Amino acid sequence: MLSAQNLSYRRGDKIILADLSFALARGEGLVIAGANGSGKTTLLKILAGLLAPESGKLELDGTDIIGGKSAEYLGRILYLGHKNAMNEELTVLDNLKFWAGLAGNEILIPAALAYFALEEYALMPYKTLSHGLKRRVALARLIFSQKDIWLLDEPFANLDGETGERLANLIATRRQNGMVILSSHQAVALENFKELRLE
Amino acid sequence: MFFILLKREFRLLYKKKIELLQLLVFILLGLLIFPLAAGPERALLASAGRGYMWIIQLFMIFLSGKLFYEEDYRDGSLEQLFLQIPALEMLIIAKYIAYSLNLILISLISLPFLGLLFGIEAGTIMKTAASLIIGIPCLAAIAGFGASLTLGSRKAGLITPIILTPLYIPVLIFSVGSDNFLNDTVILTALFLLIAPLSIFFSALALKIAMRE
Repeated sequence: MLSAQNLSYRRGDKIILADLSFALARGEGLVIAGANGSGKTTLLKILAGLLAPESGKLELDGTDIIGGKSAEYLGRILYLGHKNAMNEELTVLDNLKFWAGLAGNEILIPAALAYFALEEYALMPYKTLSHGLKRRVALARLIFSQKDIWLLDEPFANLDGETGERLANLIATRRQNGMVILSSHQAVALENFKELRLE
Repeated sequence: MFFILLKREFRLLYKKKIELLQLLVFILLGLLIFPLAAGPERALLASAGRGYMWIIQLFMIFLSGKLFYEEDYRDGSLEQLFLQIPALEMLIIAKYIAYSLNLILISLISLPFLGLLFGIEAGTIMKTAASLIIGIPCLAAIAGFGASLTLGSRKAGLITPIILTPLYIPVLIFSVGSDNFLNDTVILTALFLLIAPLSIFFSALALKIAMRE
């Protein structure tokens, strides 16, 4: 059970999150909805431990996980920000090899390339890819992730229809035996997902 | 896991062949210009050569050192690494090793030119080589700390040299050396053993703060 109680976050004088509470059990998903600038990314960063909230509680099964202080929690999450975390100079394959190597799952690289139809781009430098393709490469990391809690920032933005469906399938599978929290500024149809609307 | 990080650093350096070549050209041109500007007096050149080589090293690090984490910060890799590896210190050490070895290699390649252009004898060149091998990692550790401190700030190019110059000076003094080679080497090694762990520890802290912005 992941639970957030009265989370608040302020940048300068601007209140970004105010008294936010929710709870999520294993097998459930959460869509963070809201307009641009409503604090979706901030909330995901707080959940990933990259930011610490000003006040409030954040716990996983009773353990405090604020600010990345719980190494066990960090070992269980996969965070996909709106930056793709791929080096522009390296090829698609070299980039994926690096992240798969760190995840200890290099064996799944061919599967990841195939799932997002990236085989023909594998040997191209990442910087030569289009926006949508770059995002697809970043999403390919989901395939070899062994983490059970996924935090995805706008995963459906800039994707074509088919890739979107494939991603939705992937998310549904992970949700069944883990937890998925994602943000979206557009409506997404995902089964068994709660919605949290930020103003 | 550390080797995966190290492998990536070397791969990134190797991908930027033009930049490596630029550094080499920078040293060689620097070495070529000094004797032309200072005049052909052999005694002057021979005594100034080693110190001049170190000035070039320092400028090279001023120019390239501030970019230590820039790429990883901009493309989001730094955040991901923070979440994936047990300690950011591993990344920092990998970067220091790759960066230092690279600079040492380039400097050693240019040493014969130093000897030739400044009329320095082989014994002094050997001493210079030894001081480069120990001194460059010191400078790299200081530059890396500076880079982590000003990461994400647009004024980095202005602030970093001002903050770091006082830290570079002791390294520079003992690298350029006195008559007592053994003494200098021991002190330089001691400086390295002092600077490197401090730099790694505080860089990790600074990187975590930079990611919160």
